[in-house]
Amino acid sequence: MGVLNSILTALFDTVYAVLGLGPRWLSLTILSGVVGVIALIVVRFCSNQAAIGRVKDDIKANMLSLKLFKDELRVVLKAQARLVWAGLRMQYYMVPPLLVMFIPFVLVAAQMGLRYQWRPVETNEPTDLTVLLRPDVPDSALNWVLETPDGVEASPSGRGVRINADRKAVVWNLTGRKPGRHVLTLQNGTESVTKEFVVGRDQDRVSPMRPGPSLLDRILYPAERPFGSDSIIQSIAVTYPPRDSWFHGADWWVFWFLVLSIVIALLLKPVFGVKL
Amino acid sequence: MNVRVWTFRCGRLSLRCGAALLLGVLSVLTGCDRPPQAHKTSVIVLGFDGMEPGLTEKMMNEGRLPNFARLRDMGSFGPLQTVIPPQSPVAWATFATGLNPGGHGLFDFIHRDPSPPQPGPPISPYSAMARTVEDRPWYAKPFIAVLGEEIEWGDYNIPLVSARHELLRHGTPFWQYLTEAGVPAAVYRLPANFPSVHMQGVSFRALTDMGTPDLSDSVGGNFSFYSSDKDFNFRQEIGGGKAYPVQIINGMVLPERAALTGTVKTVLSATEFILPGWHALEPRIDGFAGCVAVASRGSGRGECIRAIRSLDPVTRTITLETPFDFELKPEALVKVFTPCKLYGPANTTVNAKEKPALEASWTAYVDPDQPAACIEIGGRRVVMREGEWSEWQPIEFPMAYGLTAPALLPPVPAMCRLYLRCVRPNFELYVSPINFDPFEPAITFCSPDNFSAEVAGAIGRYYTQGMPENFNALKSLVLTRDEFLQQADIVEEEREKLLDFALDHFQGGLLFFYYGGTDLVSHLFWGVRDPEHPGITDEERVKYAETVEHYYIDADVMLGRTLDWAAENAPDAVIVAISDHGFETFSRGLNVNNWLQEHGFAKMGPFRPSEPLNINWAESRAYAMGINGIYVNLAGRESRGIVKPEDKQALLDEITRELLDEVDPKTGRHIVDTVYQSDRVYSGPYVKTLAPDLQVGYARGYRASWATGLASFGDSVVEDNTNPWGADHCIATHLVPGIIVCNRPLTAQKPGLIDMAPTILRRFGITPPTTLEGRDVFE
Repeated sequence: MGVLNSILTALFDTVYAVLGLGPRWLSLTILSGVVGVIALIVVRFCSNQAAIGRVKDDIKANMLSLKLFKDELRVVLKAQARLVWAGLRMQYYMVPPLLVMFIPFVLVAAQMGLRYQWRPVETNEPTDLTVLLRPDVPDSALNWVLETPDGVEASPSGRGVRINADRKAVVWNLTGRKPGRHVLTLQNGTESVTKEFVVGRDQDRVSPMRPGPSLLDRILYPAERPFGSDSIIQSIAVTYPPRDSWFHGADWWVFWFLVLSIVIALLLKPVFGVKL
Repeated sequence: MNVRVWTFRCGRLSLRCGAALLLGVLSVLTGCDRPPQAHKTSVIVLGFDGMEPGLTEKMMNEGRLPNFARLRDMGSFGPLQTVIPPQSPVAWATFATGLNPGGHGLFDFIHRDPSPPQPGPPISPYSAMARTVEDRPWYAKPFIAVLGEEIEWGDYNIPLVSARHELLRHGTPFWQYLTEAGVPAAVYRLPANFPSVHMQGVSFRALTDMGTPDLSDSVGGNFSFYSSDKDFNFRQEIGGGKAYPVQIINGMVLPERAALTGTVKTVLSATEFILPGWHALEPRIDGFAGCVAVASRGSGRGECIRAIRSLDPVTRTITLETPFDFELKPEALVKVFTPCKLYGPANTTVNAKEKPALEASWTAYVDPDQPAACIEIGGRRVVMREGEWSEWQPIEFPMAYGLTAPALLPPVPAMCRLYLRCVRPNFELYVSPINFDPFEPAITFCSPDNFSAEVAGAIGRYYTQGMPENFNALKSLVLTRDEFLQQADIVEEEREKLLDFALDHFQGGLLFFYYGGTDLVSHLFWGVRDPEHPGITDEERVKYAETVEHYYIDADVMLGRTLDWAAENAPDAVIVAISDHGFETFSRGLNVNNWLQEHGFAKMGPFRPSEPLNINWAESRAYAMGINGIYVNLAGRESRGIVKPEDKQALLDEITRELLDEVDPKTGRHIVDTVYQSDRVYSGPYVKTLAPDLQVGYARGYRASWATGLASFGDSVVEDNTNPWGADHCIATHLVPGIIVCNRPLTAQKPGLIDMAPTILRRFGITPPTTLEGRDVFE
């Protein structure tokens, strides 16, 4: 998982190095289009197109019979039943391409989330860094010290505020004074871990969390190397502000990504000779 | 806030979405919400509330106000005649309309309805600047006709009859004449201008100030204070705020009382157990996010806290996120805590007799040895050290819980600032009054509707309530004087950013900018000049000797920025700096109702003396309410009036005479300088309906007592003012003139606030309507 995430992150960083030159709405539209086209190709080769063709013919035939014999109750009922059956068959034939696409789609969406869901903090905009620890660690495991690079200030400096109640965590306020992709270093005795922190470069992707062993976290936050199951750290998280846009901002981007990729796929299906 | 105001706006959202395109086209056609436009004439007016002419002149002559001196040298400086009574809303309303109070209808901070609907109190006090009124928009009327005024939806009533704020300042503001003549105008934070009225035609921008409420609909703002100090008197009445007890368990700040306490009946697994005693649970715990269970160790070695994943009220089963760090056994004591709450106004949409308050959760964790805490509020984590103020924290107050109701009653967006006073030995957290979020304004405190967000996008979030310096927290001694000044400095920083924004976006026309810091700080620190002030210690007298001067210097810096900007961008601009009144110490308070009783004009009612409206109406001929007003209990006007109209004048003359004769037994000085009879000093349509019959002009050092405002009684006729609010200006008008400094020579004798509107109109070549009472002070 970690290796795959690293490859995908590098790939998307390269893609966005180009797409990032334009406005964000354009990059979202282009990526949605690419995903729509790839989805078409997957459907073309992973589905039984001949069977889908037959189902579509069945649907057409039964729709026609509904129209022609609307006074014949038996025929109407039979046609309706066949339409339902055809719908189920159509879904059945779409299962293989959906299965093929599901995992790549989630991985792509996770990469896009890092670029559309959150934005880097602005210079002098405060945020927080939280180290979440396993609940069974001893109190001494809370003594993490944060070393900040030039251009980042932490409060409190050094040791953070320790939470030892309903969870075990250490929290700092962070303020970026200089734009850049900074690396924060956390130390506890001999153990040393890092976390990236992005300030002031609006087009950059962020990594809100360096995940722990949780599979879901590893999928959703793929940019940084996760901690192993033997680590006392469950996650290190920076709170980034959500991007504010009704098109390419937090939460909305998923909606428009789905809509655009579906619309583009539907528009281009004759070009690729795909039956849907 | 009346939550109906919010639900109304939410209801409009769907319409707004559907009609967005149409509105866009309409706005272009009608010219509303236009971007700032250039204009060849520029008039910039800076309003410094409460700047006193004597101190201003002294500091100018000492070289401490170089920019005021610079402006004086370019034109003129002098006193500016204020209004009767010299209260800020009254004065700024006169500035805005060019009318005396009889014309604009503001006579005091507090007005009274002399004959409110019955049953109820015989008179009803209300905030004079704005009120909440019912609103039945045209598109809701068919639904109201069919469905009634509200729809029952589970535990909630979805209101169809809505509410909105209504500005009670009457008359036409002078910028309306300007915009009608095609002159763009920007009016920043003018008092008594809430809600802002939109203007058509050209660019008009406005933000409101004094009179704009916080979320709880309080004009002064209601703060919250949380303390784990067992000695703190949480039952005491705190004006303008409320204190809540909390406790700290394992470093976590929790409410003083658990929502549920019980002994474990059955342990199902390491993270699941059955806990009886649910009858003690609050009737409604909505969602269990944030709830924690605290279990005592059997050996009594302390307590262990775990987050609750789910609470099942049917099976009485509690499921934890992670197991306690010791084996839980039956009969172990477990307490369930909800998070600490920040409270808003009553949620009138809840379908219950007693409406619960809107609430938002917060949690704090205190570091084991550092003087710092992590506070989780509004989905954010804020790390604060002792003595630190936070940035604005956006928060949402859910109106409804469940599956469907939140879609119809969305949460109210708001924001607050936190001040972590200390974490040990006691945890003490001050939360500012909850302000409306300028990014999502739930009420109309700006014009056009998106202007507050435009400003916030440029300068960050800012105080949206009026009078943002939280004087109530200092008056209640929840904040110390130093802490108040820290908070006032935050307001000051926001003001400076706002002024920069205003100047950056000004391209000619009118720019008005209001600065309230000089007023509120003077109220609280001017008293140090009085060596015998009973509310100020010798130590404070020394420590804060220069505090007011410090704010005058801040005002000077702001004026300097404006002059520099104008020199570069609008060299021909007319620049005027004014204040609405001066200042005097307030060391003795007259309990006017006690005085009326002592002189046989009034009689106290059957309640505690400090109870509001505690008047024996059957035996009182007059009563005092507001800061300067005395009303005759007039038959035919007051609902229980006893004075015949033909006896009114004799009564007024008698009260006037005796007030002027009154001498303070402690000092031997006269308490009252002048008494104004309303029908002699005011003219206009509101004199008969709203004006107090008498306005008391107190002598220097005196004012109406705190009890007088809401028609209460004090312990004695004259009392020492030991409140930190140790200076005031609500006295005889001629004792507290304001200032005028401008880059044009003043030609008029005794210029006054009432002259400002015609003066400004003339600068744009507009002939002032004959209804305006003042004159052009430059011609």
